[in-house]
Amino acid sequence: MAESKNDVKIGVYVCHCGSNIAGTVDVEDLTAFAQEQGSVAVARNYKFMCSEPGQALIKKDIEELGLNRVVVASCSPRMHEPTFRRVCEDANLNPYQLDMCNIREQCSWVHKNGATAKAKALVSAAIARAFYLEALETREVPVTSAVLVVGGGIAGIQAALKVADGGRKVYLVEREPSIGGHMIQLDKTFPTLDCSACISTPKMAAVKSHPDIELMTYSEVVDVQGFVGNFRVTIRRKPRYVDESLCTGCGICQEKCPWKAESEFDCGLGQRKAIYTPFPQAVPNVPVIDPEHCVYILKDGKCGACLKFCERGAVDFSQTEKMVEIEVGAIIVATGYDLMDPSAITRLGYKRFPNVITSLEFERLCSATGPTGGHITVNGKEPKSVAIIHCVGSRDEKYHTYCSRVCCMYALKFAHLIGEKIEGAQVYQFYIDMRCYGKGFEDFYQRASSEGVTFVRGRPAQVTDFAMSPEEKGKLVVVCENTLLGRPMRVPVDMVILCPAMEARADAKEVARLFNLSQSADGFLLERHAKLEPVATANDGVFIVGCVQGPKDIPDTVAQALAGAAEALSLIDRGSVKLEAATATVNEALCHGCGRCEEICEFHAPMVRLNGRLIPVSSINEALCKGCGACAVACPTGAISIRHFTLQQILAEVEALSGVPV
Amino acid sequence: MSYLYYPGCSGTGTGRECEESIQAVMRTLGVKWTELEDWNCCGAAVATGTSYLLSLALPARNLALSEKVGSDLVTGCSRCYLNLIRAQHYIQHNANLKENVNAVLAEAGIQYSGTAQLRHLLDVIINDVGLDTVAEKVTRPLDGLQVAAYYGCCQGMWTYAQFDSTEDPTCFDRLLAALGAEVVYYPLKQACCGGTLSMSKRSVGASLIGDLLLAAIAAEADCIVTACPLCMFNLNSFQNEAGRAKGTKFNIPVLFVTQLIGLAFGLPPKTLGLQRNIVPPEPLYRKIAAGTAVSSAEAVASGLK
Amino acid sequence: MAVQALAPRSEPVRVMKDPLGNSFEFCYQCGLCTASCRTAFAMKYTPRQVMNLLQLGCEDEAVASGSGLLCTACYSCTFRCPRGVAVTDMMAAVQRRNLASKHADSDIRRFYRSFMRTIERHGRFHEVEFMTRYFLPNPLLLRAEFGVGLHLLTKGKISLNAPGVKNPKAIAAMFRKAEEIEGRP
Repeated sequence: MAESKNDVKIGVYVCHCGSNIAGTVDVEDLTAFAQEQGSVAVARNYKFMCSEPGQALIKKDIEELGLNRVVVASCSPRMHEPTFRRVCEDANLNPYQLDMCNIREQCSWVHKNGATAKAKALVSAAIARAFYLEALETREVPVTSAVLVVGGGIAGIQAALKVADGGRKVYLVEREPSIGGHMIQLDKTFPTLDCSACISTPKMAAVKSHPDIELMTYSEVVDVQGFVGNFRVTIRRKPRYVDESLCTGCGICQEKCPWKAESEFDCGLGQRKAIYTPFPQAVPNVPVIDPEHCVYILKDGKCGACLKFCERGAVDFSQTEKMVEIEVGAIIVATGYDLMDPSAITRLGYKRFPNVITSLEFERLCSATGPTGGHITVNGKEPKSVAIIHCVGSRDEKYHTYCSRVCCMYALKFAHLIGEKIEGAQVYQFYIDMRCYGKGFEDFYQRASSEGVTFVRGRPAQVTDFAMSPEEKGKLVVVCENTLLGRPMRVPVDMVILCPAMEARADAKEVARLFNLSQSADGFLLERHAKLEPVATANDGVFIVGCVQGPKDIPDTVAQALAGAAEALSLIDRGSVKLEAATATVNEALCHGCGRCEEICEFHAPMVRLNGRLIPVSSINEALCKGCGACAVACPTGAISIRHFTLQQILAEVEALSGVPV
Repeated sequence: MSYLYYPGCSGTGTGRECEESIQAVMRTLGVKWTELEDWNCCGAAVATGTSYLLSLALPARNLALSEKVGSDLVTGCSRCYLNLIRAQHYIQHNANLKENVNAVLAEAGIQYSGTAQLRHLLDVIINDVGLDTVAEKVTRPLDGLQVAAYYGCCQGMWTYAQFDSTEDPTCFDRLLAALGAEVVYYPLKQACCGGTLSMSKRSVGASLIGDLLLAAIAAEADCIVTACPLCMFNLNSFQNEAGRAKGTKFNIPVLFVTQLIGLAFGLPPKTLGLQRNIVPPEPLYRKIAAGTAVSSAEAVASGLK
Repeated sequence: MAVQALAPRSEPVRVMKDPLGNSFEFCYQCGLCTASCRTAFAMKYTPRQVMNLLQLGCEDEAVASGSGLLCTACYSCTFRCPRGVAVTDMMAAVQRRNLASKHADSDIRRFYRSFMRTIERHGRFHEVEFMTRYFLPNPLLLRAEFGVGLHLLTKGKISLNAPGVKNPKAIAAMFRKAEEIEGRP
């Protein structure tokens, strides 16, 4: 039903937002101004437009005054556009006939003087645009009932289990030969001192045996297409050279293999074979063959010990890389963290002195499955005194400004473990602040204090082997200031453990691009809202959980994993998603099929095809289109326009703002 | 390429042997340079005690003078270098400061625009001339000579950051290796010698100098080599006081870098001002002459550079 | 031990007039500067403590302590500071105020003044004039320098007539202008 100019009835609602807007903008003046504008049937202001009574105001006016346009002058549309759109829908007004005018973030919050004048300009522009707004229909598309979890550390494992327990199919993709992540590298965990492997291996086993989880290890995601509820993901399955269906995990191949390499799992402190499982409790318990150290592969068939000894004939050198395509409705990214390499901080002596190790290396030394069978020794010698240096590469503007969150706690844990394993050992903690904020953390700190740990508050400048007194001979000396006494100090010790910062994975940028996510300034992946949406991202349907989002300990990681699972299940259980209607549309009469829209679109929405015509023309896949407008700008003939942001609507705004007729 | 040379005030006095050896070595290397005309004192470690603005304006005048000529400005004194680059760095990042500095410079009829190119002597020798060329000029390889390379403290922030590593520079080691010397492990290589404290607070200065000498002895160095005339002066002149502070006796030769380079080049010790060194360097000559015949070119080729 | 009362300040601490100035505000007292400092062992207040005094507004105490005088300006602290505090420049500012105050050691103050005076008058450091200005008021100081002095003299390392700049008056004018801009007496 065509609307005539005179039929347009606009309602303008100015929000005080408490004092956020009303404190700087004269809302009464603004309302009076709005009332005078053309086609405005009513203008009101209210303390909190988004509240129940505020919404009721709008609804009532729509119903009683027959409003067919609504302008809300308040906060950013990112806050409440959905709220007010729902109000319109409730009052049987098409939600796309709502125009939000931001007089908070773009006006009252950034100006002291002139805010009211600016607000008036903004509101007149919104009114001018609202005049040309059209009713648009949203589409609903079904959601694929499956979830992809990327990363098989504790975050990925927990999320996968929870979604699968909810009765949904889960694909768990892990890059390493086994799931377990960093957690399985740890010895004991704070604050309960649970054995890490003991609490995580049951979960790993549950993943393996769960009927609804398809586990793909030694695999990587290489491509993601589609949109929320309808993702198509391509996964590269790297060749293990061992047939998973035949292997029993007996381990004889590993025993017989003559070729060794540095064990990545043991942080290079120990060795593994060319055919290997990274650790004894690996899931799946199927080895992989490392093509860079396997002589059969490197030297064309020389060796073959594993082939010979495997009773099941599971070794298969003919395997090749396979690409697998899956369809899922939601994606949970749980790819974890890297520990910073402290070699860059040369004054701490890492890599120069063998007795300076990182926290993860120390975990491997403590671990019964580690290179020393759980004995804290370096080159066979047990230290009698150990220094633990906090904040290595964190809280430091030269490396990472953030606090790495877990180090104070695991440093206390280390002190305890050292005390347990080495009789009479002396442990020094070099800290700046003790951050023991969680449940049971402060008690853990108190316990450590009672176990004979010496706390020195001072960030060390140097770890040196240069002895300046007899006590220092043959030792490593930590040079610091004891800031509580205000006294420079030199502390001789046998071993130094560094607590390096947790940092974003080396390929965080590529992962972000793959899943269309952003990184925060610190390199980790960006959540949608720091407080209210910690696991959602700007890309609907993709969630980030665990350390990929920022440094955190196991309790917080598991909490986020469960949150991600809830988000994914919520999406899938809803069964369908509403697609945003503000998408691009092509006027075929003006299209010459040049293809510039196809070239410029990041989301592959436009496709130029013949479609039975004389010349190819572009058509937009509205499911993929994000309404960004790039194609409309690129189109040389103006054939493409964006619904809800038409040229007519935008020019009306410009005219209202500039006072110059366009 | 031709350079401008900023000698610094010590060149005619306490640092005379440094100056002489610099000139001799650069001549041998064929480096073309002229002394910066009408240069003034950079303020040493003293100007900051009087005036923040002067501590920047004094070096800035030299930078401005070099801008007029347009060539790279080279200095062989680490403290001068630090002052010059600090001025450059601070003024570059602060428009208000630039204005004030130029107001002061206006009194001397000159302005600083910020285009000056500053170089350290070591940088020019190692990166411009190149260690290959240096190795070629060696006629008396320093084989068998154990040298402690003392980089000095003017490090990190600006000096070695410009052409080497901030936390762990190795340029000096590489230079000495190209001469055939054996560079010892010297953990105090960037520890401050105390600067002017040797004069203004003798007890502290002597202790710092003592640490450096002890470290050299622990490393079994035959001599210490330094790239700063003030370090040169301190480490040479106060070995007795340092000895008293540490309860021992010191007598270890300390050479300026170009003195050692000159010896390896076979230049006569007098042209290198070696007779002016306070701790007699003669014991080194015997060691150098007795060195085995591994040529330095080989040392360079084997990756020591 | 007396309890210190911290009175509210009417003005923020402005150690340095220049905007590069007050970075001590960012100091979180980690002690890395002091740990890197070669002369901290001899200071009454370590560099970190000086930063804290400045944060508390107790700059007079920092100035009186003489810690600034022991700074050799090696910049290790500034280079390593994880909060970007320009520690060396803060210490220099404290040192300047010390040398201009009644707390200054008179010999050290004369050392600095004599040095700067020769630059003001010649544009370059003039050794003989410096020695005259510095040692004459307290000849006992010469005793400690006798050995070094003899060495320098016999090895031709005391320059007797090194040239200064062409126009020393210009340098003196620079000194005066700096004084004027910095509001020094």
